Amino acid sequence: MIDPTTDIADAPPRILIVDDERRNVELLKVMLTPEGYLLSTASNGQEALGLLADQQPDLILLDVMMPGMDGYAVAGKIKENAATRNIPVIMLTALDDRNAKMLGLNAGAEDFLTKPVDRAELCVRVRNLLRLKTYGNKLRAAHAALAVALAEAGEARRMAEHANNAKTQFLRSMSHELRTPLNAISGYTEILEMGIRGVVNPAQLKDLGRIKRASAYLLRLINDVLTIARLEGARPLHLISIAVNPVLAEVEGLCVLQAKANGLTLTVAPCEHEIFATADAERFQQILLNLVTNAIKFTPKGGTINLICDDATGVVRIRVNDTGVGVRLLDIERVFEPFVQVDRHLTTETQQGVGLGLSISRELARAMSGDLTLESAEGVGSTFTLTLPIASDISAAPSTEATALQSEHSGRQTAAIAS
Amino acid sequence: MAKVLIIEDNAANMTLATFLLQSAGHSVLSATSAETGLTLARSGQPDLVLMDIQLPGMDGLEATALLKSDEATRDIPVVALTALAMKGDEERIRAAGCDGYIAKPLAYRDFLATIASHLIKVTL
Repeated sequence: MIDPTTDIADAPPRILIVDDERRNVELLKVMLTPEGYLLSTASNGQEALGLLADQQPDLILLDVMMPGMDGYAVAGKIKENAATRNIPVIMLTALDDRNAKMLGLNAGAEDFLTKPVDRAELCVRVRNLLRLKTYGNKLRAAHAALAVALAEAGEARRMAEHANNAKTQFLRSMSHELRTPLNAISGYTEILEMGIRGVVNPAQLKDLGRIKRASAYLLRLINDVLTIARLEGARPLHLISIAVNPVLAEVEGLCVLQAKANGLTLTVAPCEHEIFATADAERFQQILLNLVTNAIKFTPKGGTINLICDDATGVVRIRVNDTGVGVRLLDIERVFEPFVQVDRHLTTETQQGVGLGLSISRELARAMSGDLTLESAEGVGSTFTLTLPIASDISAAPSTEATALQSEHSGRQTAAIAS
Repeated sequence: MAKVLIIEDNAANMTLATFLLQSAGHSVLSATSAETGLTLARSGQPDLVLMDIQLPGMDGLEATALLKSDEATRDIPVVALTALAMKGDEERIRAAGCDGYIAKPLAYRDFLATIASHLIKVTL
């Protein structure tokens, strides 16, 4: 036997017995009491409806033949009212005919019992309907909770959108407000530098150079912040088949002087045979420039930086290896987070950056279906590995549109990324 | 050389642009609001208007639209000189009727080259 209280609320279920014959009521009470239900009774339809307004039972046993309001009318009233509609009703009838059952079903009763009532059948039917009611209650509660959750989610989304718009607006006006004085700073510096206001002595020229570098740095910072805030929107990536070796040579050419000036050796080990990668040409070069200028920044005098190319299954691998200060194991993933500059013993102000270069580079690499990873040992050096998919058909040079953040205004990419 | 009207509310940037234009041999008219600028454009008939976009009162986009809808000023090239330099700004500014666009902070050579290219177009 199934315990009638399983799946039912903690309190014992309440059952209302509606019958005009006292003998029948007593009989039902005797049958149901051992099941542990709380029983109440009504001797006619009016009384039953009055009781329902007061306290709702979990189930109603309703006699059909009653003086005044009959059982069908009472069931109709119960099912009409939204407050009582969900209480299951079992009709009790002495008439074992089809007509009585149809009338009861049409009135909304859930089930029937024919008099004389069989105890076992009564108990099973009551228990089943109570269980169904419990499921119904749970379903309705879940439905209500879902509606509340949906409304809350909608509200949260509206608030998030609002906050995001406010952020965009804030950064937009910050950008404008910062550029305005910057225009005057760099403009007048240029005028002084050109000697238009009078002869500039070498010491002054040096100072003007410092002002210029500082304002260029500030501009880069503004642009980087906007980039990471995605305000510059998505510029479509132009994915084509690119020969890797010429890109490496180009990067070498752009960085060799800077490396030499820092007392470093820059070597390039090109791919053994010509490999083509599927990438956006500008972004590809931008990532490599960023990695090499970073390596220059963090490698002490006398060190070496190697640019090494090889291929693995389906990917071309370009490693930028340095003998620099390295990164602690703990910080290896952190260097790719925006605005993070792990302590790499920066010694001069020129080494400072806003900490966006690597974050942007990794995003770009991933947007091109590649990746950017780091292996490093503190005090030994770092190896950044850029992987890009190998172009399968070099002659077709497929051009696919994808999106990535745009890092800078056209023509200033390398300056922005070098920070 | 040419006559350029500068509409710019920031004093330091006004002086800078004036100086750069004068050093290149141009003469300069100046207005610190769009309203004054529109009047000066009609009466002074400059060869080019250098327009800041974010201005007190009427902004540069609205002023440009008015210049371009007025018979007396519609042929004067308008070059935006603005610190609105984010993605989409240039497109928005050009859509409002500006013929050219220079983002602040300006670089001396680019600035004069852009001005010169728009002046040549007018003379041709």
